[in-house]
Parts: sequence; C-alpha cells; structure tokens
Amino acid sequence: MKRILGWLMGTVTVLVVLFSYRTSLQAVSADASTAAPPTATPAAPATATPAAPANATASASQSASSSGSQTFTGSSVDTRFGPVQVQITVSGGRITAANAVTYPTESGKDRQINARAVPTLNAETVTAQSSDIDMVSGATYTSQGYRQSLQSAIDAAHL
Amino acid sequence: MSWTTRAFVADTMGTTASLHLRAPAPRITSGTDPSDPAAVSERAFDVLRRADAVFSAYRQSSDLLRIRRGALSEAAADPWYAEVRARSTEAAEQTGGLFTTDLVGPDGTRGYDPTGLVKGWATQRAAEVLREVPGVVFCLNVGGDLVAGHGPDADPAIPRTWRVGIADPTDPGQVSAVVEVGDGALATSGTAQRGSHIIDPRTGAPARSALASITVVGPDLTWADVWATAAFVDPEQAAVRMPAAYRIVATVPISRVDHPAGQSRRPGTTIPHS
Repeated sequence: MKRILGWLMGTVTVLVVLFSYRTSLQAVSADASTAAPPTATPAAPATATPAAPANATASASQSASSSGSQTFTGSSVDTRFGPVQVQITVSGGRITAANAVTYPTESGKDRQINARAVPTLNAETVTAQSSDIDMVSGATYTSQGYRQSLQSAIDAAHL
Repeated sequence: MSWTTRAFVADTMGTTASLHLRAPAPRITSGTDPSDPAAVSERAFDVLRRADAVFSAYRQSSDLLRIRRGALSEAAADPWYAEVRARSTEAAEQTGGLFTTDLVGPDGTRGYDPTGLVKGWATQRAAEVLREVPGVVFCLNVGGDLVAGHGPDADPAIPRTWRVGIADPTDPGQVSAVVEVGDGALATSGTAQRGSHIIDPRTGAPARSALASITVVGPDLTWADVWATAAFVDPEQAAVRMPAAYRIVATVPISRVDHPAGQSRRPGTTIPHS
C-alpha cells in the first residue's frame, strides 16, 4: 500500500510539475498576447464527459431522428478551482458533445478567464480530484514526438 | 489487495505503443510463464510489428508497397492485407463516404492507402491477444488510439477503468479534457502538429473544421478510429450515422477569444462554419 501511495505521489508530483510549469508559461504568454479587455469571455472550452466512467460497451438504444440540437446544463460541482458545470448537447436523440465548463473565480462574479489557462486548469482540476491520468490520446504522434510527450512521462513512472 | 501497473513501450508502425498491465502485487514468475508481463507485452507488440511489415507506407519491403509497384500480387500477400481491404470498403460505405482510403499520396498519385485504418485495426487485434491472457487487466495505447480490457479470471478488485487525457492539439504537453474509459476503445482524430491533414473526401481538400480534435469511444478500435475521422470531417453527419455503441465523448475546439461585442480572432485560427 505504501508503495502504491509513494508511486501515486511521485506520479502526481510529476504531473503537477508539468502542469504548473506550463501554467506559468501560458500565463506569461497569454498576458503578452491578449489585447482583449479584462472581461473577455472564455474561449470555447474543451469538452469532456463528466467524471463518471464512459463505459465503451454501453449501448443505449437511440433513435436517429433528425430533431435539432438541444443543450442541457447540469448541476454545479465545487472544486478548488471554482465551480464546474457540465453541459451536454443532444442531437438526434443522442449526446453529441459534453462541456465541462470551469469558472475559476476570485470574487465570485469575475469571469475573467485566460483562454489558454482554461484547459490547463480544467485538467488540473480533474487530476486533483483523484488519481492521475493513465493514458494520453490525441492526434497521432510519431516515435520522436512520443519522446517529448506526456505519455512518455506517464510510462516512465511505470517502467 | 494491492496491485501494480507495469508499462511496456515499443516503437513500431511509425509511432510508439504504450502497454499498461495491471496485476496483483508482483509474485515470482518464471520466464516461461505465459502470464509473465514481459512475455505478454511482446506477444501484443508482435501483432503490431506484423501489421507494420504488411502495411508500412515507408518500408519498401511492406506488402502494401510491393503490391503498389507490382512486385507482389494481392493473392500472395499476407492474409491481413485482404482483411484490411474489406474493412476499408466497409468503412467508406458505413460512413457515407466521410472516411476514405482512396487518397492522393506524396507523389501526387491517387491510390489505396489504408494507413488511416490500419493503426486502429492492428491495435484492436493486439488487444484480442491480450484478452486471452488469464488475469490481465490492460490498456494498449498506440499513438493515441487505445483499447482497454481484461483477460479471463482477472481479479475484480483490480480497477478496469482508465483515465485518458485528451491532449491539447496545440500543446501536446497539456491535457484539454479527461475521459474515463472502461472495457473498449477510444480514438481521437484531429490536426496533427505537423503537416498531415485529414482529407474531406467530398472536396478532396483538407477538412475545414471548427474542431482541433474529436474523440470517440466504442467497442472496437477499428471503428472508433474510423468514426473519429469521419466525425472530424463532419461531426453532425457522423453522429447521425454512427451506430449507438459509438459515441463522441470529447471535442476540442480551435481556440478563439469571444468579445462580448462581437467576435475577435487570434491570428491563425480557422473561422468556424456551422
């Protein structure tokens, strides 16, 4: 059990270091490049399903009706980065997208959000909740790209 | 009970495969034990290596390239060639043409190029090998396409869910979203960092998308991969055609900053069209 905890802490530390290092870089570059007034609304955030496992073998029966898209907003969950809300878009009777929208706040009213910081903070929020990320998926990387990738850092923790 | 994760890595198919095996806390196993993790990983990687030998678009000795230059007949090729050929036809039909293997190569000639399908297909086959290994709980990630599963008699106390970070396409050291996957497959399609574009078969040109990437889960990686590609080309059309077992679970938009008074664009972003 101690070994698992030690491994977990080590891995979380690696990831936190990665994320926090990047966060400070992003903050600097975003401040330099963003000419928008402080009340800029967030960039369209990356979307993800809520933390409940997305079981890949689930097969809900869906009708392929061509009704228009509808958006539903779920309840807000408090995290240390602020409240997190989930929005889903339903089109043709099935969920076609899910938004995890974060509002990192200081005053509670201030929705000033750094466009680059939102995905980073979102990821930090999720990783801070429980165990770390096991795998990374994205557009295909080459073996050379792998060397600098987050996946290689994760693998290194388990080799 | 305590369990551990061991990772194995192999460079193949032009990318790097990562295999994570979860097992009860290590016990002494002999090298000939078929459940020995290192032996298991090699069996999985051998599937990928065979696929690379058959389908590599770079190694001149591959069946694919030998067939292209007339040095090998399809009938004499590795049986996997015919199987992938059949899947390619099926993929184009099922997606209504959003996915295609009829592509223009670097030399400017149009021809059969299954590389967009082979990676997912081969990874799925490797996963089938892993599913026969008693006691194993695994996740095999080949360049971002992954399958999670377990073998017979896997200890139910070992978790079968895997937290998958969806890479920020503009900064792959960053994660844009996290998806939890149980048994099954996950594939992400989108703009690679350098160069290669996903072609919209309807125009023959790179797909114009408001998305930087889109992620699909489902029972079979071949199809999760196909549908992720189709959904990148046209998310709404793909969502309508996609079988119920496949779902879009994450989308990463191309970043833009919205002004309250209108819309401003950061240099280099694509104007989304609906």
